[in-house]
Amino acid sequence: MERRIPVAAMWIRKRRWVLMLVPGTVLLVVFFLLPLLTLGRMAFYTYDPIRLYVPALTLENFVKVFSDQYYWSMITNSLTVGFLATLCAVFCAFPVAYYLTTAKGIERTVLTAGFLATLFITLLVTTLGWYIILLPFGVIQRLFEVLGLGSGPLRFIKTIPALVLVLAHAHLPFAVLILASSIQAIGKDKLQAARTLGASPWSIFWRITIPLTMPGIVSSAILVFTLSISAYLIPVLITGQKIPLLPIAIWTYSSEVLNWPFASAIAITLFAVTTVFTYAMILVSDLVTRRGKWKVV
Amino acid sequence: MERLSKGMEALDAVLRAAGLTKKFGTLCVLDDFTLEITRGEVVTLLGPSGCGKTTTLHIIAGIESPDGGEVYLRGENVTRLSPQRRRVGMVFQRWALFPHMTAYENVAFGLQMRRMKKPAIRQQVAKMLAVVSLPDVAEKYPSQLSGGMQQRVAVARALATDPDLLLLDEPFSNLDEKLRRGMQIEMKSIQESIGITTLCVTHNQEEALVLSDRVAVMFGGKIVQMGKPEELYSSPNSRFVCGFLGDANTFEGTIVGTQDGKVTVAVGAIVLSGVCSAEMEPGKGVFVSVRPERVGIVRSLSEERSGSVLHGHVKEIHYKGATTAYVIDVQGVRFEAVEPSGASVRRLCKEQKVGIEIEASAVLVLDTAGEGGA
Repeated sequence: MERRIPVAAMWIRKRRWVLMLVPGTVLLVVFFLLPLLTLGRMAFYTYDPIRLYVPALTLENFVKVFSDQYYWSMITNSLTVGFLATLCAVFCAFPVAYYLTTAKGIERTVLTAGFLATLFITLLVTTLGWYIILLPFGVIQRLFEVLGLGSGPLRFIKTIPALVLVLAHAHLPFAVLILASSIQAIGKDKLQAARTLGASPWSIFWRITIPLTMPGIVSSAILVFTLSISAYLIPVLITGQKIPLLPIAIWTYSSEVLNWPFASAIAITLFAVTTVFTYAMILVSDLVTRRGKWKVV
Repeated sequence: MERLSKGMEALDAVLRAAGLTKKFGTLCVLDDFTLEITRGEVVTLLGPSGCGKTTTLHIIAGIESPDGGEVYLRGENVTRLSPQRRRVGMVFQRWALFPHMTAYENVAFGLQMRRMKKPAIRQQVAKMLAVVSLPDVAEKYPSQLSGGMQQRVAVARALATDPDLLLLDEPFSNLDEKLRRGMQIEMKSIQESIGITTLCVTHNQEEALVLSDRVAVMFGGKIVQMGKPEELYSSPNSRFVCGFLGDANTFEGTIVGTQDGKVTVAVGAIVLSGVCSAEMEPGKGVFVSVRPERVGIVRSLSEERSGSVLHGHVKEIHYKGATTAYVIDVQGVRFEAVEPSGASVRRLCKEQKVGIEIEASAVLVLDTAGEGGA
């Protein structure tokens, strides 16, 4: 009664799990890969005031981006803002995440829920909140005046520090939650072992905690960096056109000037910059912590 | 007087825990726990999980602080001293090696923390890795080592800083049976070669018996009985200790007579004579224990030697390789007897009629009152 299964049918049967990858793959191909390829191709077209774009294969858009001082400052602005926001967010998130892992029971639930709740509030509302705080004659300025630190209209609102502050705040919950899970994974006994071996809290932090949480630090940094460097809404509301940034320029060229080829070129530039920077971050941290050589035991 | 006793202490007591108490919420984990360990001694705290043994270890290491009581190391009160400054080495249950450091770096960690010079560190690490017989793995990461090797690295790391006291927290529970036995023996030889004072915590009775000079059986945050392994095994003071250390035939019985240190006890329909430490009156309900290896099997019932042989028949046979256990029914009372399964003894078969003979010294009669648990 044994039924012989054809070899081909067997081959398919053994790989049935591949079917589960189909929905995700389709989604990514249709809504990410294809648009990205279109964008990539568009970057090599030329602009035409009447037909909008003319298919071509020219580097003139990229030449324009990289030869103009203005666009260079845009790239450095974006990188600076992204980098500082990441530094700020991870730096602030670490102690919070550490505290979260030591918290127990209801305190922990409340804290975690609190962090998640900030993600439920629309970005527009949180950013407008910041806007009011940072505004000339706003909360911060009043505070400065009360403390006698200065008077007159404060020009803080349209500056890079203000933007970094708001971006770091908006992306803080992601960093906290990622870091908390990686701090949790260290294992209390390793820290206790270090203590019995005579390590000071400072040495424990630098020699045990940081290296062992490096994967979490890197992934939270990547997340905050990519979110910050590609943020549009927050820069528009906080700094407006005052600080030239890549995402704002992309929007301007694609929706206002309607120069799609040039907008595409800037978009590709942003994409490349982000990718290079992210991989550089991973590479450096891997070198520092000798990652890949060891596994968690 | 105070001074003198302190000086004496410094001479041979490495650890003295006095009246340690610890509560987690309403749960009392340690209740007036007192223990003293002299130099070079290996003491094991043995008990079921939740009896407070790991908490004791943590308090001695300084990882946790007691609610009451004091810890003295080499005569100095260290109760409020941080673990960094106690000079105590600890091997954790899951070894707690630093996964991002090589075996060498793990062992060197404590020495670096003590700001030792590099050449001295190199020398000491090499020496420690040789002690645990792992000279060739210095550059390997913990994930590249087997369980037994990781365990040795953990031991080397704990010993590298030359601590006054070595604490072992269930150090072998993560190893498989065979490796565990090998490591226990090796640990004992390492301990003997260095002569380090050791406090070990385990729930494995065999481990406790193999490793230690003295065993303290713990239950409910207290030491129930403490003594040499053979003392605890042969004369437990309570039903709990008796049941926790080794196998035993245990019965409820009633005293029927006493005569110069010996008692006769009725267990079901049979009468056994045994020994008891306390004074007991006839009619008192007691707890009776007989180790299976002390139950002698009499095969030929024709040559009956005395009245001490009880007649019964074999109910169950459990072959265990080196030994064979027989369950023998004597007038409704079940005795387990263990014999070596060598070729020299004839194996019994089911329902075979046999006799059992138990020396009075093998029958332990214990008071049922005032017991920890069981």
